This record gives sequence, C-alpha cells and structure tokens, in this order.
Amino acid sequence: MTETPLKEQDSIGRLEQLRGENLVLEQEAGGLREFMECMGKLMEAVESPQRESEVLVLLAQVLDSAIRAIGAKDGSLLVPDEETGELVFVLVQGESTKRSLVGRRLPAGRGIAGWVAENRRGTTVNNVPADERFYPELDVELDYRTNSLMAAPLLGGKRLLGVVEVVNKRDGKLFSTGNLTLMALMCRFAGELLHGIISEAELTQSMRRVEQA
Amino acid sequence: MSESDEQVHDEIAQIESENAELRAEIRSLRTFIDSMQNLMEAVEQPLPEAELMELLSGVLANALQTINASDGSLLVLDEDTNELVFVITHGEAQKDQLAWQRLPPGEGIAGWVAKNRRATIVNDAQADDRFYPALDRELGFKTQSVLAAPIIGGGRVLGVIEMLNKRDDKLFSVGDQTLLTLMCRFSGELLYTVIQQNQSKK
Repeated sequence: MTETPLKEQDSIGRLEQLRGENLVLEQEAGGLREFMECMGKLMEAVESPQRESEVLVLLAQVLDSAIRAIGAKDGSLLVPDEETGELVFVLVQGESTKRSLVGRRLPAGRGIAGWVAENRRGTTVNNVPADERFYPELDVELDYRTNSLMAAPLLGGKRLLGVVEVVNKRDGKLFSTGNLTLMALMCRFAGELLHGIISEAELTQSMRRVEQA
Repeated sequence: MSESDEQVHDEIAQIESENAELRAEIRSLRTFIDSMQNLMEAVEQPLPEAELMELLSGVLANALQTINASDGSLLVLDEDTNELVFVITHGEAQKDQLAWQRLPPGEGIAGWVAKNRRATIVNDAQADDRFYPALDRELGFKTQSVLAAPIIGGGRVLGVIEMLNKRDDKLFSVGDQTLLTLMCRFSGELLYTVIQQNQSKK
C-alpha cells in the first residue's frame, strides 16, 4: 500500500494525527468514566444506612471526583452559616491544599461562591481576577492565585446545602460547558440523595463539627 | 512494503479502531448525561403531570439508545394494589396494547426488582423463574433478554424501568446495569421532589 516515499510520509502524518486524537478522546472518556464512577459510588453509599459522620466522607468523595473528572487542580466545599449568611470553607482538596482555608468565611453574597449560593445555579469563570464577583481577599491572605473557577450549588429538596468549587483547570486550559454540566449533575445528585437520607439539622450539625475540629 | 511500513500500517489500524470505540463510549455517556441534565432542569420549575410524563418518556428513549436495546417500558407502582402499571413504552412491540397493562404484585422480573429494590440482568428471560409470560403471549412478543432497575425516590420504590432485548444478539452488561440504575435513581429522587412539591401546593 505504501510504496512511494510520499505515501509513507502520508501514513506517518496520519498516524500522528490519530495519536493526537486518541489522546484527546482518552482524556474525555476518562473524565466521563470518573463522573460515572462518582455517581455510582454515591448511589451505593446511600443504599447502606448512613451515619452522620459518613456524610462528610461522601461529600469528600464527590469533591475529589469533581476535581478529577473536570481536571482541576484544587477544589473546596462551602456550607452556609444560616445565622450570618456567610459561606464557610468546610473541605479543601487538591494539589496545593491549603489547610488554612478550612474554617475561613466568605461574607454573605460575596465571592463567586456567594453568587452561586444566591442564584442557585452553577457558573464558569475562566478569568477570575477580571470577574466582578471575585473576592480576592483570601487569595492575598493565603498567597494563592485563582485563575479559573467553576462552582455549582449543592441543592437538596430545594434547600441550599452548600457550594462546590473547583479551581484552576490543569494545563492552563479553560473550563468548558460540558465540565459545568458534569459538576452540576454530580452536585445535584449528591444533594438530592443527602436530602433523602438525613435530616437538614443533622447535616448542618455534622458540617459544623468539622468546621470546629 | 517494508517492515516499518507494515508497522505503521498496523498501528494506524489499531488506533483507528481504538478511537472509534472511544467515540462510541463518549457518545453513549453523553446521551446519558443529556437525559440526566434534562431531568435536572425540569425539576427547577414545577412541572404539570403531562410534561413530567413527556420528560420520563424522553429518559426512556435515551436509555434505549444508550444501552442499545430494542424495547423499553416504564412501570409505575400503584400503591393501592401493589401492582406495576406499564405507563410508557418505546420500541418495536405493540405499544398500544401494552400501555396500562398491569403486573400482579411481585410477578415478573419487574415485580422482583420492585420487591428487592435492586436491578437485575436476565439474559435468557424464557428460562428465568421470575419471568411472567402472559404478556408476551398476549402481545405476540418474544422477550429474550431483560435489564430492569427500580426507580427509588425518598426511600420509596416509585416504579421500574425495563429494557428488553439488547440489539445485535449481545448480552446486557454490568456497565449497562450501572447506567440504567443511575438513570432510575436520579429520576426517582427528582420525581420524588416533584411529587412533594405538587402535594404541598394542594
């Protein structure tokens, strides 16, 4: 088939093109598989009777899966403090994990997470410093740089249970619409399942405990 | 053709088929994700019952496409009689005749799924003890393989989704079961939310 040098060139070119495609497809399929696995784990977890303490383990899994499925560097879970209207960082995960972020608070309605909580919908921000909603104080304080961010609400039975954020997409890429769909679905599923298995008071309580720990 | 040519040629063929498989996998997962997203969006605004049925019909159609089965039904549990009612059907069977038919409590593979609250795969339905042959006879249909999963919301079994006869003489896989279980579970939780909203409005 490849009898002339020119044709050989062609097939090498073709091979390289296919390899490139393969890489992109593998990445996409990998993210989707991660998503499916997370949904599966969530489902299994709620089949077995839950203890309060396990709820946070479950949420930590969701956060971890979201970070990996979407290909972000870091992520966090914030829960509302009903009394003050602030959002409290309860879980922080990722490669540049800032333990010091746990327990920090976003003033009511501030930050992109605050916007997500108020509007009850997810958002993608690929140029965070230029976004008016951004709350830069924490970046400054913790010497962190938020470039891109995606956040979605954790809703259960119409009530806001929290906000999940993933921060800084890997390899300098942009967050996509597909990424937001996956994250919104994960959060929604987790929220509805959690809502079904434990009372709201219990959820708030167990989150408070982590915050205080 | 030199040896290296042959190697390049082989590798091209291999990656081509790998890429085709990956594309198929991505397409199937995307279809699944789309239907989950439609469900999620639909719950944001309270739905009249008719639209809810339309939505579930779409979920069922997507499930058929994702899982590649020829027929599918959505059965709703009648809490008064504990019978499962065929509410939506898609596929090659005579739908008009199947609609609103009922399965006696615990009968059929769907009845087993509702009772045990878990999904099952039956790749030789006619040989399975749980199979309920009366409907096949009545409709002149031949059920070969079945994949069924419970629709659970708020801890209650609300119904069952059944996929019948995987295409191309293939067998239902564990992956198919995971997909359907997830779809059902997600539909269930959202349905439950809608039911509660409608009740609180009354």
